[in-house]
Amino acid sequence: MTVRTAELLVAIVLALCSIGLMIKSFELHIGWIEDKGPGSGAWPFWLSFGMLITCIWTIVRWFRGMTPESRNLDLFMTKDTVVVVGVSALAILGLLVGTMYLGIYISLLGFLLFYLKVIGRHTWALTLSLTICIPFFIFCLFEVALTIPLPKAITDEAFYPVYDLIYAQSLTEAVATLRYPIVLVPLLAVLAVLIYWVRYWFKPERRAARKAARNLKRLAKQAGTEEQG
Amino acid sequence: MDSIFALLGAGILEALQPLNLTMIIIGCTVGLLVGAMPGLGSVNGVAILLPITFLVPPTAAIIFLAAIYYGAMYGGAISSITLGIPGASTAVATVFDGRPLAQAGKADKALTAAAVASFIGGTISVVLFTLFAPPLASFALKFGPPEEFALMLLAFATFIGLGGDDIPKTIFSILIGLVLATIGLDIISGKPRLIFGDLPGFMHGINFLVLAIGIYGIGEMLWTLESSQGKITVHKVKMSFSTLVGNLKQAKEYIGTTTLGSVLGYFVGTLPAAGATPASLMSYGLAKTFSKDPDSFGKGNVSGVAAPEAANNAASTGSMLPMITLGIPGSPTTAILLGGMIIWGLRPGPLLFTEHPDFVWGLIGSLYIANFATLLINLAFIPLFVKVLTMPFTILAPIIYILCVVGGYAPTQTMHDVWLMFLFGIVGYLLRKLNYPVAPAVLAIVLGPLAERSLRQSLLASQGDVTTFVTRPISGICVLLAVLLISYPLISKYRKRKRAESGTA
Repeated sequence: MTVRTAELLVAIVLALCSIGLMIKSFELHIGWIEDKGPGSGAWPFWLSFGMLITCIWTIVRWFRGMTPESRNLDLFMTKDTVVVVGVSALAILGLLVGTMYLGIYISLLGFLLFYLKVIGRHTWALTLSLTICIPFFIFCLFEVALTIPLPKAITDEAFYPVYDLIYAQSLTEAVATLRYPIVLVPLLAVLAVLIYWVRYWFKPERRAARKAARNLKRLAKQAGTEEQG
Repeated sequence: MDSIFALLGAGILEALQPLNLTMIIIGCTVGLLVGAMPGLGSVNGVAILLPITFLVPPTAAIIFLAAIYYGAMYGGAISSITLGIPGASTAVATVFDGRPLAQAGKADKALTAAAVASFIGGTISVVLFTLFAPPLASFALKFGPPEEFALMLLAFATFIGLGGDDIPKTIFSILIGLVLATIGLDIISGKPRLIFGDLPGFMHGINFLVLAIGIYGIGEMLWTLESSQGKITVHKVKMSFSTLVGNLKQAKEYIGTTTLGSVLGYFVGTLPAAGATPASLMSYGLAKTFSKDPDSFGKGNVSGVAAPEAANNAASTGSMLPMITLGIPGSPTTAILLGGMIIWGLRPGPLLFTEHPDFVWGLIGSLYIANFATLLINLAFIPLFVKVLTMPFTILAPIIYILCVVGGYAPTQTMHDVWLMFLFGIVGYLLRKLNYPVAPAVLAIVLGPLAERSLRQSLLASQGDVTTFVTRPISGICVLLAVLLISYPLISKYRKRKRAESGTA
């Protein structure tokens, strides 16, 4: 489909939507009600009428070739664009459908795994770290700090022990919740990620590499000052 | 005058409260990052992060969001210079000279100039803001519903007249935003309206955040994915304390153009629709015109970086003026701030100054502090921000999508809104590909309920007589200006055609 075709098609679809909105508003009172002013449908009705006019205006301009889009014969979506944008859009769609049936946390795991590994082709270490830490962070931010329960669908009951932890009255109560895997596993996983990256940072070969980089920088600086001198 | 200083002093003290100061610092840093990332600007950052601000009291929340807005204006320059891609549309003009400078290995010079110019722009505009806001607010206290409606008409008219986008598409965008705002319970009669498919999710209306996050979160990321398929190269930045001092000393070269650009930017910013992007382009043009060496512009003139950066910062402060004093946002970002204020139970407009002086002056005070904070953070961490730019998009994108989904869910806690947000994102992306401007729709959905109420109240008071908008002096002037603005593109086109005809004859 060319941009030119898309322009006309979209204008027609939007015009139809405007007509739909006008009909929908017409069901309400669009006239003047004594002592109450304009009816509740008047404002949306005339706005939709205006939308219809602008769509017709765009269609007229299309026929006269006045907009750059109506003269553009390039593809509206190239194959690459369809792939790049489509995959992302489908991934979000999957995330939403998953959230409705499996709850947000399971869907987040799947979404991140897919996006980071399949689309991003990142290493397993990075993929898993982010897949573990991002949902954990979202949980802490929204459920703990903002106290907004996120949709959990079928996993709702499984999360009860986590709330026991958040709203624990005493330390013993909090520690007691650790016997549930739903509490223990995420905590251990985040801990494991932390340990992994700390150890990665202090690995002998990485330390050597950093030292070499520093030396190189110093040498470059020396060379620079010598040049200036 | 004395009272202004006293209020401002109290406001600055309020902004220096530990919580507020922390918010400023976090906000500026986030803003710098958001601004620096290509494809993300202040409006995206503010839209995506607004749901998170429910953590803190309203004053701290708006300070945080204003700091993001502020930081993003600085941050836009970072990618304009080091990547040659504007970090946000507001930094387009910075690329013209920032890129040649970076290619010549003078990225540090350009970045320092951008930071210093932003600081000057910020400072001048905040001072102007402090001077103009209280009188404007007390003037606006006289406004009744007809004036309010006329003013909103004027705001929409500026989008049509000065937005520079396709006119029927701009009008369509405004109207659909207004229609979307009517969905739900009618504020006056209490009747449910436009409940599609009798879905209960429509009863509470469409929260503006659903549209804003959909368009500026999901839609914008899809757009960025499409446009940034090519590889990007980052120019190296060498920076040390000694070069920094040297670069700072250079500031006198561009101080004149920045001052001019700041004042210009501020006033352009106060106009709805005009905002930071045209302000920075105009400032760039002005700097070039007044320069002794106009030929060096576009080839790496430091003034060419400083002028637009000063203007876009000044414009961002400028666009807060009509939002705070009149309740009319001057840019999509301030539209979202305005929506946020309504959620927090504050009614933006002239009464804000008398009813919530601590809030208003806290915000103004925070702008002064944010200005300093951003300058320091920016200069200190430029290498870090440059490093962030090399972060793969495939890590950034899923994080933003997740924040969008969760952020879309948080305000009303229904999946219905998340689905709507997704739908708006996709539709917004497709419409944007066809050059439909999306910013007017976001502005309209925020202003919609206010516009409808003022229209109906005015009509009720005048017994259905529409001339009430023209016969009252202030609203009459606004309507006249609106008509002039709407007809401006048509007149200029007609004149152009006439000139072309006389040229050929």
